[in-house]
Amino acid sequence: MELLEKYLQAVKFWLPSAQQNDIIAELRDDIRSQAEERESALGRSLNENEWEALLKQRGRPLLVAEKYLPPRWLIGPILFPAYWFVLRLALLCYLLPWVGVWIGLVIVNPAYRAQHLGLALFGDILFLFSHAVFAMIVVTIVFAAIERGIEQGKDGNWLDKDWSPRKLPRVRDKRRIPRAKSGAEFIFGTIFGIWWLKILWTLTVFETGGIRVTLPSSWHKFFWPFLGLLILNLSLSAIDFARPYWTRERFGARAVQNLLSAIVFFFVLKDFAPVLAEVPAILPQDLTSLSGVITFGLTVAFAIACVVGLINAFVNTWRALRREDSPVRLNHRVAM
Amino acid sequence: MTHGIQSDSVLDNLRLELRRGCLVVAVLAELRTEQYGYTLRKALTERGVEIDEGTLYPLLRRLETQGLLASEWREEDKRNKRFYRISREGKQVLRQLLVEWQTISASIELILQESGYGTLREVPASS
Repeated sequence: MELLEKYLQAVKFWLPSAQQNDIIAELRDDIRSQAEERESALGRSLNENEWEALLKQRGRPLLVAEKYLPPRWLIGPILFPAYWFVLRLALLCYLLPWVGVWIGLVIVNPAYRAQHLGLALFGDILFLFSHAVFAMIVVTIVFAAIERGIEQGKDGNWLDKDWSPRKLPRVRDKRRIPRAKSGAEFIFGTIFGIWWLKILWTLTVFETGGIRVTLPSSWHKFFWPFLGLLILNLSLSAIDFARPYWTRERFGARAVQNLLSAIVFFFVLKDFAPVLAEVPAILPQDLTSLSGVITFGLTVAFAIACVVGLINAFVNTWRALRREDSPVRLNHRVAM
Repeated sequence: MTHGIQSDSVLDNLRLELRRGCLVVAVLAELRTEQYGYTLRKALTERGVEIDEGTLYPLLRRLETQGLLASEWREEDKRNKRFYRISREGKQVLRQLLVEWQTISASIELILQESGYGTLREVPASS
């Protein structure tokens, strides 16, 4: 009988307090009725092993109690597909660039590599891991809050209201290049390209009110490669605008352009010399740290550009080589 | 072999789904006469409706919360037992469920006949 009381106490622990005594009294009676039936069949009392077998047959206390509890979840089955999609998207857009930058810096920047060996490397991995966990926590909290909102509204049909097939996204022709995209690429590419080439030609990044940030003269040699890249980018954008459909050749050209960009950015990082900052009325050590911050920012930016160029080159090569898919694909964006 | 195990578990799940709704009908019908949980489970088992206590007691509580059953604690054989019986609302719901049952059964019968399986009585257990 001691086993029975231990078992009931364990079940009671998991039950909602308002119903604990009632459920346990009924469960006790049911188990005792079952035991009495066996005892009358055997003609004697059950021994401890038989009690143990009987209670094991009932199942673990937690599982027994769970059947009395209402179904509860942090994120329910309706929201879960959207949660999973956003979680993957968050990790892809938030974590992957960090990993890319880190790998890029370790590969191309000897000073960074030297400072991030041994325990420092472990620290970097911990930093990336904590970023991934942080992203997951934020997304989970947001979706759990939405789930609670739905539960409190007690309106299970909210997803069924106010929807119509007419409001669903258009069937996307994935071979088509939106003219808005190629047009924007051309305009902003021209503005940014001219600004950047001017910096490479004059070596002056910023100059106003006595504050001056300049690049060392070694940067001059990158003027022509960047000019070539700019002409190539603008030409491809212009072709996309005039004939807005992807072809194998177009993907191939984009892959070459991405690869060339990555190569140029790689050599920029390899020969990276610190920028020179001149600020009146500032302590020399503050000036050095300011210069260091700007240099680090530019290093990170070029590392990102290099990694992104390589990824795009890979993706576009794959698109150029793969077999033709079906011409249309449903837009996954808001198909819910 | 793996395929066999997999199809067994698929069959178990389908059987559970099929029986879930039937259990409510069986419990409501059986509780036209007042019974406590243990005797109810035995009565159902004797009639071929096997139900484990982990399913029966939460189901009884749910049906009582929904107003389809009424219960009271009473002493019998020197022990307190909770006796359940169907409520007036439960009887109405049971009648409606039985009408639904007959409709579904007739539809399934018709589908089976048109598909060449014969009637429900004729479907062999092994097919």
